[in-house]
Amino acid sequence: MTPPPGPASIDDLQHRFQGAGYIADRDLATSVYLSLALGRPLLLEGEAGVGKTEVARVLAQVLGTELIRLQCYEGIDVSTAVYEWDYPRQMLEIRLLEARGEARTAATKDIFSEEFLIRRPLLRAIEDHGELPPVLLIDEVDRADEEFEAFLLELLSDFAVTVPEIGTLRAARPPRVILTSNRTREIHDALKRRCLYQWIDYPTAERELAILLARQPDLPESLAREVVGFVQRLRQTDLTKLPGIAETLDWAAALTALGARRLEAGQVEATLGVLLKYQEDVAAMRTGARTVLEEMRAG
Amino acid sequence: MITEISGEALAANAVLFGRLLRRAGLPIDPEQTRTFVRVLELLGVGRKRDVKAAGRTVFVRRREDLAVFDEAFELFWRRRGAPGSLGHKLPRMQQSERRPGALDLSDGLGAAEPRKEPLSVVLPGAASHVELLRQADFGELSGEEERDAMRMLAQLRPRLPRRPSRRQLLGRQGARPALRRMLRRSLATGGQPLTWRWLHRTTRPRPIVLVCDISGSMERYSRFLLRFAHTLARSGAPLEVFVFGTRLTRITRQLRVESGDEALRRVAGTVVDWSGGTRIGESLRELNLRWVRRTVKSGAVVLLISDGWERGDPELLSRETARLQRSCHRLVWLDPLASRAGFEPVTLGLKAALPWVDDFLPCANIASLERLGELLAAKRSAEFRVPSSR
Repeated sequence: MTPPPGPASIDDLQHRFQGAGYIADRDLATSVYLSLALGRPLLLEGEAGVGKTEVARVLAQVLGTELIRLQCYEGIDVSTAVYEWDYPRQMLEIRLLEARGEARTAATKDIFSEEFLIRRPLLRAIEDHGELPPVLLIDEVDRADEEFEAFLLELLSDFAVTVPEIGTLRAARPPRVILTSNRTREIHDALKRRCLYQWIDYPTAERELAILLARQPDLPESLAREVVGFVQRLRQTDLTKLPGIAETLDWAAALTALGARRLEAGQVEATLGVLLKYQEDVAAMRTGARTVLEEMRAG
Repeated sequence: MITEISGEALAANAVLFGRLLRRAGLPIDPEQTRTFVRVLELLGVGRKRDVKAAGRTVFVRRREDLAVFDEAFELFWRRRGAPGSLGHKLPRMQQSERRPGALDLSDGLGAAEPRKEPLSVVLPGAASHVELLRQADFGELSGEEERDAMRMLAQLRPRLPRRPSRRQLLGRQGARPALRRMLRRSLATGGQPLTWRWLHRTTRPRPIVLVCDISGSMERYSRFLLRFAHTLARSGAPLEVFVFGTRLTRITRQLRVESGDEALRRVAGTVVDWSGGTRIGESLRELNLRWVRRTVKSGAVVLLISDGWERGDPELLSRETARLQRSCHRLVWLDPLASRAGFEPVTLGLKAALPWVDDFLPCANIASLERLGELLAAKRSAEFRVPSSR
């Protein structure tokens, strides 16, 4: 077996991720490493704000390659995800041919040639001619329709796209693929079968602290500890939407901007909107913040 | 610690492990096992932590299965020394059988389903029987009528609400010209687009969430309404079903079987608070907290079936109903008592919740359930709307 390209071991990958400011736990590092080594897409699932998208960004950075991102949404189809024809230019071309009196003899291939093709993310990932294969991020795949999922399935199995007017375009080297899902619905089994799977949970206190300090080196450690302690406690309560790492980072930044040295009830209440995104949650915490803070200090 | 292990033994172990996971209830295919062999070759088996993480990423495809995997892995790792004896000794990690003493929902239904003949109640000379049954209150049916009503419910083909989709279809009419098609065609006519083709928006079924009260006061109705839920589940609409008495239980999966009797039997095996008290507010709170964003989604119609006999805090109920209404397309409250002559929404629960409800409809007989389908499919249903104080 030839040695896998990129990171030489799980430790190496974990180390490189850390160098890029992403603290990956062992489980995540293992699955990213295996996805690279086996050449299989990796499906990341988890609540919003636990750093799924970030994995792809950091991976591209670590591998020193391009990141190509496809954001999924309901109704996404081939013309927005793969390719589309440049109609205005095609029209002009027809007029031009007409002016030269060649319109009647013009063949399909004159109008539908690669020159008139608009490349969308998936086609760009396949046609990429960079030195290293790009990282293809298919973000929030749970938002796309099931029909699009079926199309992805096809694409992920042979990394080729057929444009009827031109022919089949095949990837010289398959891109590194990362899919993410917020799990608003279950992804189809067939698609999951193509992928390695990793559930990303909210981080442990220890890891969250490491992330916070890696991302915001200016933050005093005592404040960082309190921020993490508070957020970790919040995650134990009944909230509509628990804060993710993204919210922790935002909140720490907000507190720094306000010049906080340690958590104080008044300041916490004033900045709750950074941490909690539902009115019900903010209201519940406005009265509960003091208690949580006291509990935290008591240990 | 084992550091050197032959490829053959590795493969054998991976296969055994795959089999163990399948026994434990994970859907494992041979492809996954093959992948796992490659992974073991790559990582070795020296570090338990890594082997476990690798196994999780290869074998598990749903978060719910992680715990099962971990348990199976520990078991396997411990017994790895004696691979020959593995398969037999393992406990089966299946869902527990029906709880003893759980209520059998299909009481008296017998083999109603397998019989294929259409409505045996339609006897010559008794033509109006079906019509009477359609109008009869579920709570007042005799044993025989009950069976017939169940069968009628199974045969309902309700019209379902639809929502606009972003998907576009090619046609002769529409909002946007289908440029690709037209350009292609225009080549035949020297670049002149002679025939116009259009793209138009399509619709798709709107998700439905059914939340059914199964407390004591609803006992006479809940069986029929769950049967109706099963009919809905089979109609192809995206449907989530929950039941509650003192606590909320999700029964979407249980209803996903062909036979209505079987579905009800499964529900009975899952639900623990059958025919007990009612805590609507807390159940809705649970729904709002744990399920709304995953299953209700914006754009869903929520059907809440209850008579509003609330033993909990009416204020909580009011608050949670309001919250639920805000996160769905339309909140419909179905009350089996609403069709009775002289009905007034006086129960504590109803009074608390009604201001936030979009529609308030009866659901005591088959006719009203048919009507419900019509109303949902139509754009507006002002007819039954309770003038709200909101």
